[in-house]
Amino acid sequence: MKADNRMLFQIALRNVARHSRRTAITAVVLAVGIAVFITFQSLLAGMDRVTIDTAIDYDNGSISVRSKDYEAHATSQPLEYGIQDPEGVMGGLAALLPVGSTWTPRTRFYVQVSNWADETPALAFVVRPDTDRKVFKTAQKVVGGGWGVTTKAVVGTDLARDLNVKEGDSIVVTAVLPNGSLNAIELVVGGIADLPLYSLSQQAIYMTTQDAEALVDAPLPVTEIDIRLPPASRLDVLVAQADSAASRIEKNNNDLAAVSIGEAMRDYLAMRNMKSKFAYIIIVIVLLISSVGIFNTILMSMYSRIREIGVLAAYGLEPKQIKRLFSLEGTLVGVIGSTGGVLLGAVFVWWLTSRGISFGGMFGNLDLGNLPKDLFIRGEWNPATFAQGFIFGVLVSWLASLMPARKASSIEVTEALRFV
Amino acid sequence: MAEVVLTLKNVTKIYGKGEAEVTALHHISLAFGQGEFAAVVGPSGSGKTTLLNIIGCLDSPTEGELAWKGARMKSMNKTELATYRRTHVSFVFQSYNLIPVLTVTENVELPLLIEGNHDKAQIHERARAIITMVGLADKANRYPTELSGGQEQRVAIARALVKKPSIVLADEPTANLDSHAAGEIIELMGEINKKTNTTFLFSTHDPRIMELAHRIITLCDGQVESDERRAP
Repeated sequence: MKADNRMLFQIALRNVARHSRRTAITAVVLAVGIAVFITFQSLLAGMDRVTIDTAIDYDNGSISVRSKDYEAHATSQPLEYGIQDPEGVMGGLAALLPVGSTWTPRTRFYVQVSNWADETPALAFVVRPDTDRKVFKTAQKVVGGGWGVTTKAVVGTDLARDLNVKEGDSIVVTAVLPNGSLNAIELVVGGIADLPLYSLSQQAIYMTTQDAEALVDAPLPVTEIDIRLPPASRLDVLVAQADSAASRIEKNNNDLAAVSIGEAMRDYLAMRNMKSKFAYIIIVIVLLISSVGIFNTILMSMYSRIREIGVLAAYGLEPKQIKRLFSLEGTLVGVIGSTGGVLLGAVFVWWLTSRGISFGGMFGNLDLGNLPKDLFIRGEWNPATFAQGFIFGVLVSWLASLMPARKASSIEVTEALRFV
Repeated sequence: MAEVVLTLKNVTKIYGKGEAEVTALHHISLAFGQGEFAAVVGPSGSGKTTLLNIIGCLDSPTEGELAWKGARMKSMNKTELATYRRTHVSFVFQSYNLIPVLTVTENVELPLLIEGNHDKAQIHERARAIITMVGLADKANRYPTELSGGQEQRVAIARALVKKPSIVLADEPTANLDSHAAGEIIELMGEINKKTNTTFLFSTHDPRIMELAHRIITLCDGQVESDERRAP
């Protein structure tokens, strides 16, 4: 550090300390703003994590591979567009995916479920129990012993409630066959799956391949191969890995569409970006408020030290050095406030990551779309957010101090020395 | 007279415009030699402070010119004037104007830090020596608020001398002091003038300074009424 810079820093530091109350108030406002920003971003990241994880754990996996025809008609989940040679496709996956990836075939198609009195539309999942549990966590949510047992079906909690059925009750499952005719089988409710996604809890019915083949009266196609990639510490890394693996799969299989979790959650992620922008709006507002405080602090400091400015100028301090002195003071207030904000934010994020917040009761039975039922969010540590908060705080403080600093540097020496 | 260090040639200073125009200095021509101990006297509003401000390059003349060892200082910008002040001139103010957040030592070190071409040890050593010279070695780590008025002015003198200026400009340096402290300050400045051959230029009403001065310049209505030299 040049001698004059060291001197300016020394004087600036002491002036900041001299007006400790004024500095403290400004720094506290800044710190709270930055802490709110960091906490909000942590909460958003936690919400992203729980939402994406839930989609991976119960619905899509990290990547869902389907035939391009099936994907084109995805809204009707048609059975006639199954994957050609699913065993062959699965045999080739190991070479395309990171070590530790797992996959399972599933068949998904629309059915009608009846409790013999009332009927409701449902989404049938035909699962292979041995591999399905390596990809999905559905089996862990089942109460009852009927998971993967022939003649038994597992239904979502809300579907069971709508049909007023419980474990052991008989239900009738009806499907429209590719030739347009209807076929039905009787199954016993072998378990209730308390699934965290409303869409699945209200619609899902899980059955074995044998039962499904009896229902459709034909060999059952595999409509999707769902893949779980090894866990990643950060969500953006996980999404990028899934996109990259999906792209490799599509390159190697011309007739397949590999839907990565990023693609499947495109709408959600777009909304997430909007929420993230909202967080930036918050910090901009808070920092604007803080900048008024910093502006005021530096201006007050300037007016209370006009004679000092005169003395420094009389002894040869150049206008640009006087400007630097005052902008340094503003920046120091910013550093103090931003450091406080980062520390306060770290405490909030620590609390969020270790304790978490339950939003379950807040929404009742409201369908939250991609958000899981009983929404419980744990914060996420994101060093970039801390760095952003700190840099924003210091930058705004520096900017806010520029005008008072310029004013200080433009004071005439003789007027400053006469100032009472 | 000793080597001439500073000359003023036809210096005029006018403040305000139109009806509010005030001529503070009117065609002043003076020369100051190295080691002079000169007092500028005159009634309030005679232009004493304006003269010192112009000599110290805190203000610029409306007309006329200053020359420092022959180098003309007309049309200097703010940065160049700051450089001149930093290099050649020091100030002692009536109300001391010490920086309250700095200790005695730090206040005295300030001009050297502003000069920016000394190492830390050198700065500290020079500050320590000058503080000892003004008799405040035991107060080196005190803050200005912990000192008496006389002690504060001693610190201001130490601050003015530490960078070994060619000229010290003192605007009513004893005006805020009691007679005892004022006497001590005058003696101190006289001793330093003799010891270091530093040029001192005071504006004052204090008869003791006038008694001690080798030269008395009397101003009246912005003009030199008399310029009297005495044997030291």
